[in-house]
Amino acid sequence: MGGKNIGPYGELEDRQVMAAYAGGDENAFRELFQRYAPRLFGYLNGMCRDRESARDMVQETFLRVHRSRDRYDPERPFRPWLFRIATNVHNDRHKSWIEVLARRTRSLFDPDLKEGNEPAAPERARPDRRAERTVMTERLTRELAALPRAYRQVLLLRDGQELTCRETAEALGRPVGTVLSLVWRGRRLLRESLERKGGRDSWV
Amino acid sequence: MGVNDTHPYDLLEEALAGGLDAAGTRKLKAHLAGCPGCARDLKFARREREALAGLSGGLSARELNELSAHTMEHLCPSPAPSRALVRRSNPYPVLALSAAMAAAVLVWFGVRSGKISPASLMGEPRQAALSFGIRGRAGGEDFLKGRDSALARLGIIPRPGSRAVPIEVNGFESIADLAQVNVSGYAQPELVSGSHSGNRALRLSRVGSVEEPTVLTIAIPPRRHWIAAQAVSAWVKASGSPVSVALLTEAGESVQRVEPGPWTWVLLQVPPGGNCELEKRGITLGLTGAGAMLLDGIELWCVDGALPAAFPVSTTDRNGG
Repeated sequence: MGGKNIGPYGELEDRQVMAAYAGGDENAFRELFQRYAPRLFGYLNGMCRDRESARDMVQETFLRVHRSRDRYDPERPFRPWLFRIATNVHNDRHKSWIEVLARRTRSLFDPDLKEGNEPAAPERARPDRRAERTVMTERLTRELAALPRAYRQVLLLRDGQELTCRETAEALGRPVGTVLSLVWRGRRLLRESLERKGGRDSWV
Repeated sequence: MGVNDTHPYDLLEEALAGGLDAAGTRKLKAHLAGCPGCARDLKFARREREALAGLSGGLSARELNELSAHTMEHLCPSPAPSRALVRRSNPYPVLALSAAMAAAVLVWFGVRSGKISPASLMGEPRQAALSFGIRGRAGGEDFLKGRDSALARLGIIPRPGSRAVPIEVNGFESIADLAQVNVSGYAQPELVSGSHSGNRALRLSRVGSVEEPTVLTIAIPPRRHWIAAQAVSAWVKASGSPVSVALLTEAGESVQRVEPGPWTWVLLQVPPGGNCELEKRGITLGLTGAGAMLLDGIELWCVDGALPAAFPVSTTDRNGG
C-alpha cells in the first residue's frame, strides 16, 4: 500500500519518516498523518460504524504515536505498529460493557443507519469501473458491519488496508495461522451473506 | 468453524497473491476440484479485495484537514491527555462534572445505606429481573413442571385466555446463522454438533472475565423483532467453570448463573421497562466465566394475547393453555 507520497518525504519509507519524526522533525508527523489518517479512519469507522467516534479514535491513535515516538524501532515495519496502536485505541474504547452494547446494537441492527459513507473510489480506475467498485464497496462495508468482530477486524486490515497476513497478525497480536483462517472464514461469511441477499450473480 | 476446518487457507492466500508455485498449484487444484465452496471463495475474494482495497471510509479533504489541525494542536512538547476528544464529544463539561459528582454522592450514600453492595461495584452481576435455570431433559416431566413454574412466576402463565408462546430466534443450525451473531470480547464463535436438540450449538471456547465479558448480540428475524416479549430463554451448557448469562437491555438486566454440567434451560425476564423489540432487533447477552460454553435454542416468550393478529406462531402447544 502507498507508504510513499510526493513532497520532501516522497522518497522515504514510512519507517524512515517515523524515524525523522522521532528525531524531532515535526513535518514528518504531518506527512505520516496525511499518509495514514484516511486509512485509519477507514479501519476504525469499519469497526465502530460511527464516524464521530472513528475521527476521535484516529486523533487518539496519532496522539499515542506521538507519545510513543521514542519507543519506535525503525528496524520494524511501521504499518503493523500503527495499526496495533489503532486496534488498542479501539479496544480501550470498548472496555465499558455498556458502550459495547450500545455500539454493537446500534451498528448491527439498525438498517437505517446513515453513516454518509461514500468510500472514495480509486483514481486509477475507469469511470464505469469506479462506479461499480463504489457500489461493491458500499455493499461490502454494510455486510462487514454484520460480521462478528474478529472477522470484521481481520478483513478490514487485510483487505481494507492491504496489510499482509503477517502484518495483520502483528497488528492484532495474534498468530499468523489464526489470522489466515479468520480471513478466509470471514470472506466465506461475507460471500454467503451477499448470496442470501441476492447478490450472487454480480459477485461470484 | 469447527464444522469443516480442513481448507488450505495458506494455499488460497498465496493463490490470491499470485505467488503459488507449481506444487502448490497442483495441491490447490486438487482441493478445489472437490470443494466448490473454496473455489467460490477464491473467486469472490479477488473481487472483494479489489473493492475494499484502500478503504478510507470517505473521509473528505475538509474533514482530514480539520482532524489534522485538531491533532496538531495537541502535539505540544508535553501533550496533555487528549483534551480535544473530551471537548468534542462533551460540549457541556460543567454539566458532566456536576452529574459525575452527583453520581458519586449517590453511589456513596447507596453503599453506606446498604442499598448498593460494594460487590456490585466490583462487577458482581446484579439481579434486576427474575431469572431461572432448570436442568433436565427438554421434554421430561420435571423439566416441564419447572419451566411452567418459572413462566408462572414471571406472570406469563397462567393468564386467562392466553398461553405462553415461544418464538424461536436462532437454532444455530447452519453456518449462515453465525452471520446473525456478533461477538465481542475474547470468544470466537463456532458451530459444533451435540446440542441438546441434536442440531448444532454455538460454542464459545473462552467466555470472558467480568472486566472484559463476552457480549453476544443475536439478530431477531424480521417480523419477530417487534413482539412484546416478557422473557428470553436459551439452552446453555457450561464446561470447566460456571458461566453467568445476562440479558442486557437499556432498562436493566437479568442474570442467571449456570453451573458446569448438563444442559440447562435458562429463562431470563425482560426487565420492566425494557421492550423486547429487544434493543433494536437484537438480543444481547453478556457472558462471563472462566471456561467454555455452548448455547442453543434461543426463544422469546410472550403471552399470545399480546401478539399481533395473524402472527405466525408454529409452536403454540409447548405449554400452558
